[in-house]
Amino acid sequence: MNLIPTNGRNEIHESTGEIMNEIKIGRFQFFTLLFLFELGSAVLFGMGKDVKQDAWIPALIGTLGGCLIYTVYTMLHNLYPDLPITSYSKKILGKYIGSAVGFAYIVYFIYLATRVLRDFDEMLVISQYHNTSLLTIGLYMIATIMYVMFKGFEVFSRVSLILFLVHTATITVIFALEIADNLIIPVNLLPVLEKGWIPIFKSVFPASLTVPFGELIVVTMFFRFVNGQSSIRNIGFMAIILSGLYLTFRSLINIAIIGPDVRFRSTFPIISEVGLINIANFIQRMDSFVIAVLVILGFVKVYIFYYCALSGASDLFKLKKPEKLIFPFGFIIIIFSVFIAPNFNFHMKIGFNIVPLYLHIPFQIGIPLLLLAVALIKIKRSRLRQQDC
Amino acid sequence: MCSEKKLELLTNFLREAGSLAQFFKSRKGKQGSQTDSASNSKDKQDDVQTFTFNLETNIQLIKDTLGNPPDINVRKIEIDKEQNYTIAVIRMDGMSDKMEINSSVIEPLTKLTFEQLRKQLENPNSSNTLSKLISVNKLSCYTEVNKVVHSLLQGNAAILVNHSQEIYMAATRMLKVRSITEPTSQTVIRGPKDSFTEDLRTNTSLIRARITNKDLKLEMVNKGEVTHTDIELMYIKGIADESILSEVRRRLEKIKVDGILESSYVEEFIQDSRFSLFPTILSTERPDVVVSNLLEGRFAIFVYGTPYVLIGPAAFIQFFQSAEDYYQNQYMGTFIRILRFIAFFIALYAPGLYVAIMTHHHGLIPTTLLVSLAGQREGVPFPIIIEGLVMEIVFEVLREAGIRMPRAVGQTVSIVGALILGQAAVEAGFVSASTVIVVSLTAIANFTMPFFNVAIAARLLRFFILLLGSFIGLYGIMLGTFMILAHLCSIRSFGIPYFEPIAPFRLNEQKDVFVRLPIPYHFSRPSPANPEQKKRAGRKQNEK
Repeated sequence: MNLIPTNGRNEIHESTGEIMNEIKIGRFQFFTLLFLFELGSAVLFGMGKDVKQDAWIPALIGTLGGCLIYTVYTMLHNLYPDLPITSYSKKILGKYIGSAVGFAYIVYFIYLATRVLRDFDEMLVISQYHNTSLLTIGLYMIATIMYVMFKGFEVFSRVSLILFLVHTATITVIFALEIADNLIIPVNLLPVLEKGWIPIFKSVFPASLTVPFGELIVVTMFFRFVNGQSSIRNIGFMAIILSGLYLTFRSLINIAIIGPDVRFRSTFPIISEVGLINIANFIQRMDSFVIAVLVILGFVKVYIFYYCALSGASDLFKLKKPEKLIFPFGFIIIIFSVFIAPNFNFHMKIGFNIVPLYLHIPFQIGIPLLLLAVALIKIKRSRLRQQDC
Repeated sequence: MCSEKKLELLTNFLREAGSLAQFFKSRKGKQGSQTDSASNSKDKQDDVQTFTFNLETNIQLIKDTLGNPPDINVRKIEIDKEQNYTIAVIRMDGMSDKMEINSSVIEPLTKLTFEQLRKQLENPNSSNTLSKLISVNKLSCYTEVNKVVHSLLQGNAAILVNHSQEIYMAATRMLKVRSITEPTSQTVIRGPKDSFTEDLRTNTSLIRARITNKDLKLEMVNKGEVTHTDIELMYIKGIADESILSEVRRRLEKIKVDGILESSYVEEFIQDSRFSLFPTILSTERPDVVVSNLLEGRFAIFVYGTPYVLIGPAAFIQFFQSAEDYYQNQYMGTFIRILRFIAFFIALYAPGLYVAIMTHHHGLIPTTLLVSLAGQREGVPFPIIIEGLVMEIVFEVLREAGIRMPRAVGQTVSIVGALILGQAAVEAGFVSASTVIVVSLTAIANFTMPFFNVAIAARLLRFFILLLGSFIGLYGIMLGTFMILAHLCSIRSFGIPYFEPIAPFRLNEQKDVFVRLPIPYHFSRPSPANPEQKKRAGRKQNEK
């Protein structure tokens, strides 16, 4: 799939070592994509709110689980290095079942794009734009994403690199301000493991494991674009571990600043946290800046889901011009992001109780494991047959 | 009287009708393929039209071809009256060097004897007396009318001899050119003070003088169907990437236009993205900038008639690198470069952020400042976006007026602009003082760009950001930024990603992006250079 307008510039491009017709994303770009993708909604809503002051432990355990899930994806990818999941599902499960699975993945990606867009729309409406409709906020976002979508995935990965630098710089400044303002109260983190391990495991599975780590299922759609296929696994691990550590750190700081009870009740803990910063009555109300940074995360995450749905559809239906699907898919995403739930509470209820169990677990863990098992058995069988011959 | 007028009208009408009919005929003729090919073959005959053996006919031929203009100058020298041996020297007045023609062409020709001339004419294989006598640095010989006329129009002198078909052209071109002056738009405090002129040869000589190396190559193409403008491509063989050069040659070859008045004509033909706001080709009037870019493996394009030389492939970051960064101390270079990025940010975002914060995010402003801002806006009848837009447009008008206005009335702009539009408008309560401050800050920031054309992008995109900020605040500005970034990341300059050392990230090129390391640490050439010649002559090599 190629979403880049070439304008007859292919020939010159070879001189710079990159080939224009194929999407190639560098290793660092791949890392920044994964990193920003992982932070997405997890930073917005805060992980493991239900375990109060121990919220950082599920994040840490989730990281390990994420590495395991990621290993499954890379193993599948190594079996079919040039194909996305919608294609190799056909090879593994046969034409009809495989196509059905591929189609289900497309719908799943669209649904997730819709959900993430709604999450960030709600965040903006609740925290800043009280009198603006969800549709307006969403339209601005989807219009931007469509523009970048027409530019292609390669361009997006370069943008993500710059956004990663901007994000890191902002987060560092905000952390420095929090230290300078003496907001961090480590006592808030005690007592550790107040109610034992059981609530923590309940929090890890399915919530913390699936969002954000299991959502890495999307990488199966663009693994093949990465320049330097051999290092995919290591870069992925690095991104997962670093983002996991960052989420752990974020939870720790968050709890230490606003306390477990406020955090439990707060809709967007990070905004509550940053809103406390007040240095010399001059640097205050940093939440607007944090919202701007959160928009980066939302943009990256919606883009990736949207792109994966698009790329899956063009792959499944063998489309020659996938650009034609950008508008219909964008329309679907923006309309459903408004009608998906009547209000924010209902949206959250679906998001925390139903989606992880009935959607995330089958799509992120169940189907990939099944695919891997069938593929391995098939390979073993064909090898046995070869030996027989 | 009346009948006379009628007759005149009638004849006029008939004449017009006739010309109309002729016009239609010619149209038809152009449509019909047969006549077309016939006219084509006639054109071809014109192309190879040669001179006769008669001097007077030849002079008349040249005069007719040029339409007998007043600036043609014919000097005849009679060698022998009986045999009718005459020599004529033809030149275009104002294009050629009078003194040189007098001393090196006409004076020796007057000393020519009949015997010498006859000997040469009768026996073409004998030694060429004419070329011995005429002491100009280049003498060529043509028999085709077109070539002679073209050469004549370039300022060369034609030497015609009776009984001979061959026309000698003596290189005597000399135009009145502006002398080398200080650069007007790209000035520095420390550094070379010369700049390019309108004359192409002067410009290339400025570079040749700085790079005395056999690998400095110069290639010429002649473009413009009507103007026949000289365009020259310069590069250093070995350092420049051969595939980029062949692409440039291909694009230069593809130019089809009536005339080329400035290098921007060439730029618009050869750049990658024609509809981008951001310039993808650098244009400079400083020879030292051209030299440094040639050394980085880039190419330069000289166009006759303009002091602005094109450089490509250009990266976004280059538009922030002034020549002065390298001539001052590295700390100052780094500081000023970062300052320039901040200024670009201000030029692009300041009005948008101001309007966004004042409209949507009051909470971001510290209370005391908010109170003072609100106090200023008390009594201002317009919404802040209208105020911002109007002030921005007023400023653009003032700026344009400042450039176009005759020098003699130059003072008026500053008086009208500063006093009436600024102070009086604030005092009258039409605009708030803070808006005026933000707009003027933006304007000043826009002038810090070392290359004028990148400031244009900021100037225009500012309105886009301003509207987004007014509609939906910081969120909108953020999304606008994503769009601009995506655009910057998507365009290329001769195949090199425009945003290169940042995204895609190149660690070894960061020495000259935000930070300017001392020159001895610039070991490698940036990515437009020939991939096999990445290493510069650097400290590491010297130590070995």
